[in-house]
Amino acid sequence: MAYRTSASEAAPCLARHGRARALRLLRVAVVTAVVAAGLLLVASLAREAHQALRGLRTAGLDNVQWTASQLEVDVLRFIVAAGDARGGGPLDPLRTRFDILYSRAGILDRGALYQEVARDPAVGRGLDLLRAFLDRHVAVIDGPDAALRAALPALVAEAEVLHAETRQTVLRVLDHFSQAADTDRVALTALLERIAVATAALLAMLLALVLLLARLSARQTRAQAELRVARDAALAGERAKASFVAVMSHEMRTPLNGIIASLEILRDEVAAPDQARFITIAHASAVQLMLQINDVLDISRIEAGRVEIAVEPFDLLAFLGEVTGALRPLASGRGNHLVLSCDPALPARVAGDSFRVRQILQNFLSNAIKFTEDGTITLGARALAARDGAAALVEFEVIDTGRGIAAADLPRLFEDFVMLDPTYSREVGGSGLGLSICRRLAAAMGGEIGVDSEPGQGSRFWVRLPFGRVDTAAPAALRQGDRTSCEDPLPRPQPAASQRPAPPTTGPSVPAARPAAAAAATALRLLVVDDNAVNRTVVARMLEQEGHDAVLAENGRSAVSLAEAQRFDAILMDISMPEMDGVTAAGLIRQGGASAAVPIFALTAHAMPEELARFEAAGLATSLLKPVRRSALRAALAGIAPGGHPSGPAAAAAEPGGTVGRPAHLHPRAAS
Amino acid sequence: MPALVLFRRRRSLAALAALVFVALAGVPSVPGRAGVAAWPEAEGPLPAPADRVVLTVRGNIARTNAPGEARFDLAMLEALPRTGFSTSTVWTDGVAHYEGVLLADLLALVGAAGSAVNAIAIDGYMVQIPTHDLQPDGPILAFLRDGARMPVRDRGPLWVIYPYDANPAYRNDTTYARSIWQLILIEVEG
Repeated sequence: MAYRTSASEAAPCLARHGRARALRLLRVAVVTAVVAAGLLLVASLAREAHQALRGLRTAGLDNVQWTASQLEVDVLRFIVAAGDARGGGPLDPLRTRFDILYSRAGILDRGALYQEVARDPAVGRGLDLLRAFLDRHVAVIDGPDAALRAALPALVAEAEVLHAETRQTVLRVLDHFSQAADTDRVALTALLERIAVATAALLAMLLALVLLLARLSARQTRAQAELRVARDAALAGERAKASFVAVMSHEMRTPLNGIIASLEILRDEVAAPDQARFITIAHASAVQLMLQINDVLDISRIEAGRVEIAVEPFDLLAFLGEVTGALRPLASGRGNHLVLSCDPALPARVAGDSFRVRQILQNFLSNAIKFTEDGTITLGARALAARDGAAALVEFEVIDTGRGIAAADLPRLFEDFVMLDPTYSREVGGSGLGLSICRRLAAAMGGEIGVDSEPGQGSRFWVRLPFGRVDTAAPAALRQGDRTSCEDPLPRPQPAASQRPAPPTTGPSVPAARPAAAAAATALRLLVVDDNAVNRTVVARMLEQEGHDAVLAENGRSAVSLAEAQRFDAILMDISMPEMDGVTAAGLIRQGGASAAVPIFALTAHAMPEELARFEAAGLATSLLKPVRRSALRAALAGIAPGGHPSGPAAAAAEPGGTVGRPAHLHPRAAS
Repeated sequence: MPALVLFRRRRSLAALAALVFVALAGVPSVPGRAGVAAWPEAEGPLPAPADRVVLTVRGNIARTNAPGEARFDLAMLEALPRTGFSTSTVWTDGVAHYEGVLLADLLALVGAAGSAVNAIAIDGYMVQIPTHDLQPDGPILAFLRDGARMPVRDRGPLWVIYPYDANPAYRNDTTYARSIWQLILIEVEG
């Protein structure tokens, strides 16, 4: 069973808004449909009009009226030619006139244009008469001249009768075509009118649609603006809440400082075993509370995007050795064997945020230690194929042989405040925020985080993180030396979650960091600056228990004048103080006076990297995170000899909650 | 188009001959076209008509066989390369096959030059045909209808017919008016 985190957020359900939107969409759809129908109508009308016009353009009307009236002219010219012939004129013109009349009659008789008009009974009868006349006389026209001349009187008489009839027929034809033209004109006019009406209606609808869309758009803009305001308000509220949580957590730490430090002092001074036991319980509870507050602070910082991921080169193998070493005592305390196992292909140096990687791995390891008894815990690291321009992709895994996690619980493991077994978690402690912090940190570093587990068999927590390229000018000897510190090559990847972790190897593991130096043998003279009387007293008391002398100052200003007048071996400087803050005071002290060159330690509840850098720039040697723990204090002061000369470098990063930050420099910085 | 170019070049016989050749070679084979060999001499006077004259061409023409005129009997026209097509007309019933000489070819033969011709019929009907109508796929001077000569009583013997069915642009009153039947005279303007 495996689980990998993924960001999925439930979209807010705005049912009422959705209905209104659906209604608006419906209205738009209806209007659009109506407009589309109107368009279709206009298009079909336009097509009709086009066809009508095309008909007008190409329909073979010829000049029907002209052809028809020409018929009467042809009859008359035939009569004239016949009259001429009867008066002794030539016959050929008569014959030609006959042929022309014959030809014209054929057009009216059989022409495609005249077929309809020929169905008119009056026209039909007139054409029949004409045809009969032509048929009756064609033989004599084509016959000998003598016969034709003899037939001329009768021909003229008949032609004159025919002329009257033809005139009636022609008028009838003209009337027919006039009516047809009128009908066509009326139809075309009606069609054009329909088109005009439909177009006007369509335009009106389009206008309505435009108005509707404009209104919708305006409403949508308004709705969006409202949503934006609501969102901004919600975000502001969220920020205010987060800020409140952060401030509260921060404020709680100051009194807790007092409680924890006081309990530590009491524990050393109280002799009665009963009382000592309760003090120990109270101390442990207070420490637990502090850890939880720190977790909450961490989360709110990450959520506020205030976590900056550093990209600094560090030695991966040495780093892994440190992480394992720091937790080995804790592991041994529960009978667990802690093993480090590295891939030989692992890059020696990478660029990344070792502090945050350490935080994740420590969390994995301390979880594994909590939930495993008399087992094996393996911290593994191997190189994966890098992608997206990262120089290296490293997968870290922590495999335990503990109780494992039920499949159903895996998906919520990385959520906030998840404690799978409240009974058990009470026993082992924890805020339930550790893994969710790890998830956020991994995401902030552009990595992935996940877990495979099988109940009863053990768990494998992994995180894959991209690292930047490091200039490989690092001495090869160093790399070689580091390589020896991790001799167990990582067994080939174990994809199946149910697989047992590799058995502990017999190879040498990285030794644990040396415990902090023992109590200072020499008494130091120290200046303690803090506006909070409790803190001042507590630190002074701790120093006294360590055998040092403490001079107290309430704020930066008095600290500056004291440091100018007297020489102290070291100064412990609170940061936030009225009148003059610690950073300013440190700067002034560095500028001259008896204590200008002594180490100045920042006493701070702020542990953000950028602030640490600012302290360092002001001449503050290193930071002691409040609450000040005896061990941290001891470690910080271990390297200082009376008279202000450091006796050697001191390891300052031994205990969580003690000194923090980058590798600490205890050497005072020269004033700038 | 060859016919148009032809009308722009005035009285250049050598060019005329060349263009006639090009016109013939360039026109896709049309049913009835017999080929260059059937043409009368491209230069010199036209042969005189032997039979009754059915068509007279006069005006701005280069070749004549009578004073200022080119006269044709039916046999002379029938000896020219033929063009034909089937079409219906608004004056007849149904589709018929018309055959004759391409009007553009006939005017090229007589060396006509000008922007328009006036066509005149037996009954005195007259219409102007612009030269841009004289295309290889344009009007023909038809003398056969379904393979038979057309009498005057049936709009013969010469009828200017456009391919109305093949080209919708010819289905309008202007073209119908130019479709002159019983044609007897062509006057070339210019």
